[in-house]
Amino acid sequence: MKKLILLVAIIFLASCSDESLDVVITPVDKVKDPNSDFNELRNAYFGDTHVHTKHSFDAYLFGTTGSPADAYRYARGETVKHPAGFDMKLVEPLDFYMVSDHGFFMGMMEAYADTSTDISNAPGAEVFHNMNAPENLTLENGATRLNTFASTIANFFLNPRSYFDPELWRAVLTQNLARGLEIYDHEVHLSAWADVVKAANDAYDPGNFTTFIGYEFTTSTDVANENLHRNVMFKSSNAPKRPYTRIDSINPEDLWNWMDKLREQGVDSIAFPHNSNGSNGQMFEMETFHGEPLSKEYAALRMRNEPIVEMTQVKGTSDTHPLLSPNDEWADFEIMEARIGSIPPAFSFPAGGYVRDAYIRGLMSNQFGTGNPYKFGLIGASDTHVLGGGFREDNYWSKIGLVDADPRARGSVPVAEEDRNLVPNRGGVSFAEYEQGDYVIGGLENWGASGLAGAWAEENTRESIFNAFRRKETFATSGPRILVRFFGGYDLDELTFENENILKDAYESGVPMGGDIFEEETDKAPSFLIWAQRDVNGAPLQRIQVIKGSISRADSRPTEKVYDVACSDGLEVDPETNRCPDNGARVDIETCAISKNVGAAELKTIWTDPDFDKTDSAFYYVRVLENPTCRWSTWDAIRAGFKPREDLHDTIQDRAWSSPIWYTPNDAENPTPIRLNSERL
Amino acid sequence: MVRKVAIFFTIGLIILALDLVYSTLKDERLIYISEEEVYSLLNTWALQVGRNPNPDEAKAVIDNLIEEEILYREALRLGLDANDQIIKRRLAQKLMFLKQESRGEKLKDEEVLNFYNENKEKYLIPRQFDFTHLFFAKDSNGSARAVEAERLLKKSQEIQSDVFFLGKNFTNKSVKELKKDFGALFAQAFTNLEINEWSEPIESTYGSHLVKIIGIQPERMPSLEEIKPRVLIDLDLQKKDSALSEYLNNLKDEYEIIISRSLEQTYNE
Repeated sequence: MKKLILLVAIIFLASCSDESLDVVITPVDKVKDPNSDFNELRNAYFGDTHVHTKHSFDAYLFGTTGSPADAYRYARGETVKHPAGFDMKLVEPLDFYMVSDHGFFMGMMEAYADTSTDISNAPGAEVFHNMNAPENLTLENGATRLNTFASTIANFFLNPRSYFDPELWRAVLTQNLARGLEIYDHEVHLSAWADVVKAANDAYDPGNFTTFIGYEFTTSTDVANENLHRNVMFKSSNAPKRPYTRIDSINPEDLWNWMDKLREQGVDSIAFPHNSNGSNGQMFEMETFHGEPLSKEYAALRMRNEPIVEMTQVKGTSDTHPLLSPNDEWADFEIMEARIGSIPPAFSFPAGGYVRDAYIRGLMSNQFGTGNPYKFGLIGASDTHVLGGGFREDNYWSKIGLVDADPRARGSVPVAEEDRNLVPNRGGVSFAEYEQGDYVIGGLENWGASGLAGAWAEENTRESIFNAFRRKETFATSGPRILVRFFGGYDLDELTFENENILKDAYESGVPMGGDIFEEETDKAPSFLIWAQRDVNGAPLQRIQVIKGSISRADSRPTEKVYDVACSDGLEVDPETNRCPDNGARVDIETCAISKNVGAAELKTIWTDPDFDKTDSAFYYVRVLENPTCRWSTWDAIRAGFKPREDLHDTIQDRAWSSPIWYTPNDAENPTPIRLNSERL
Repeated sequence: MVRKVAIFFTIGLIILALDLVYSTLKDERLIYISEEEVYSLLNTWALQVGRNPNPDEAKAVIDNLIEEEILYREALRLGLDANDQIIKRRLAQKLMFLKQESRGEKLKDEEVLNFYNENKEKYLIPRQFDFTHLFFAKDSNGSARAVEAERLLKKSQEIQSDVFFLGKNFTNKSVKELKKDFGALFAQAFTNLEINEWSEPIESTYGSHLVKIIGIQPERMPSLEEIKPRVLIDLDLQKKDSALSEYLNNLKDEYEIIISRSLEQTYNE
């Protein structure tokens, strides 16, 4: 008898390991298409790595019933339905795609809605019963959904189970706190995650279309719930049995440690934060999550796991803010200033929330001897919650399903008194009276038709694209498929664009975007080769700019400068102002027609930094601007027979950003770090 | 023997009768309110109102539940559920959810082969081109230079062309890919080009090109073996979509459906 008890106990304990560290091996039985490209000079591949499906608790609430498999069909160019019933289709298919459903409560909403499941009987679940039955998928119904969203999370999501419930003890023994919640069904969660993994592995078509297994680690600070969301992307077909979520820990450092442990088991992954703009300055803080000073260990941990940042998406662009970059005339671009999830909207403090500022902070940290935790590359993504993003100003559906499917609900078209039931009656949404009528204000009007990730990779496979992310040879766009090459080095000024082998030479004598230049025994300033090509389906290009940030060696004073380096239409940069003259591109706001025969099909230059100081740490990244076109809100308005709302930008200059190239002088770290010494105070 | 059987049946009948009486009494007249039910109702109440109910309000919620249950049972007893539109729709929906989910049976070889044959168009590998080109950038007088270059090419003279962003030589490009990388006009032109001959100037989004096609891989239908994994996934997805309609069609055969004569014609149309 004793033996039997022991045996049972052993089996019980053995079955109680931490499943987030159990790796599920899925052998890939796929061969690369023999007809597909391999280019040692690398091709640009475009993709979206931020996509929600029905498995995300909020996406389901917004009316999305499509699966990860449906999302991958969309990415390959097939037509799928928006929750509000219209068709969504890409102008051109994408090259890579990653479904990234929220890790916590993954799969649960659909199970609450389906009244045949056990968990649908759990206390609190009844408000979701049959939520997405066809008769409930209406715009009017969408209007009430945000309310449900806010109140559900606050009220019952985190109720623990009773001490007598064996599931609570399983939660403790398997180190999986989620299982201890009353409203949580572990089996449902595991099968949703298994579906995410399977769909990615099924849809992977090496050589033609790459998918990644991924999810969103949707965390926030414990101080004021400030946004610290990031997506995790796995390199291969192997993945943990369950995702590590904010229920396990809200501290991103714990996520990175978990990724480290998986990497030791051969499962490589990287993470990328997003919506730093809505983090109230917390995403790129000069301290750790718990308020401790930065350190080299912290910088190494962060950079090992987060070499990339998603800097533009539907919820705004995080390049820079007009308050941070007062001398950058293009800083006011798709600025979304509300803290993520704040109802009513609260202002998000810009410093620490934008990538340009983060790069400066990183240089500063390095100079103080605590490493650079902000030496990341850039991508864009959509964060769509309806399987697919639109990416185009002239075909915009925002991203939260029934809630913002109607132009009136997203603030681009006035709302008649009798149609107010179409607008979410959440706290914070109010109406403002303008010339043409009452408009919704409260945030959605500041969202945009962004963005895409570009990756320079040898071939369209997981391995190759993941490696491009790892070495930061990536770029971001606000939607169009602008291509941009960017190399830096001391001898690049010897290259010419007449030479067919220019790219090969650039790779040999310089470093591509994401790379490093170090101090050399020369008085030469580094040069940069920059080459951009317009999107076939987009607008012509207007100019290329280089954005430089640096830290003075003497007193760590930051400097930021925007240089125009190539102008369209044969125009020359004014060396005094570093600006291209106006190329005369205009938009007709009544029809959205753009000037014909203005702008460039491609722009290219080899540029040498005129203000180079070899003792100062610096970073350089490229911004490519299109000619202006109508913003989505203008398209919405003219299609509904209105003029654009007067407080919104009626045009937009869509753009691409390269990842930076960093310059590091010898002894960049100050041997006597500038620190306040308490004895001196 | 006969007697024994008779006694056996009599006792059986008595038990059955007793059970029927008691169970109907028990089932129809007993209302049991479980803890879960109450808590879930109180939770909903709190969700809607934004705070927890006080004891009086909680009691009212439970009273409501009891009254609702009594009314529900009386309504069932009176047969009010028959022909009620709302009830019908709810029950139909429940089954719909169940049917769309309950799949998972193995796909038969024959089924896969049929699906492959029916969807050949989808798996067709389009014609692909290998080609090289001379590029003349739009921004530096490309179209005129391309015309001049065409003339020089015929005389085998040296030509000064521009370096193209995507490179010089391309392999395995379908018309679809050409449209994506060069624009629609450029892709269209390919359908009329001769192999191994320099073309006339062709316009792309970026400028003018003289193109020489070096190889053409004709349109090809891959064998089922080659693309089986993809076919299996597609079939599985399609089955999911059609599970419900199949289920309905099967059931429709079991029913005799009569449509009111006045409507029949409109329906059939």
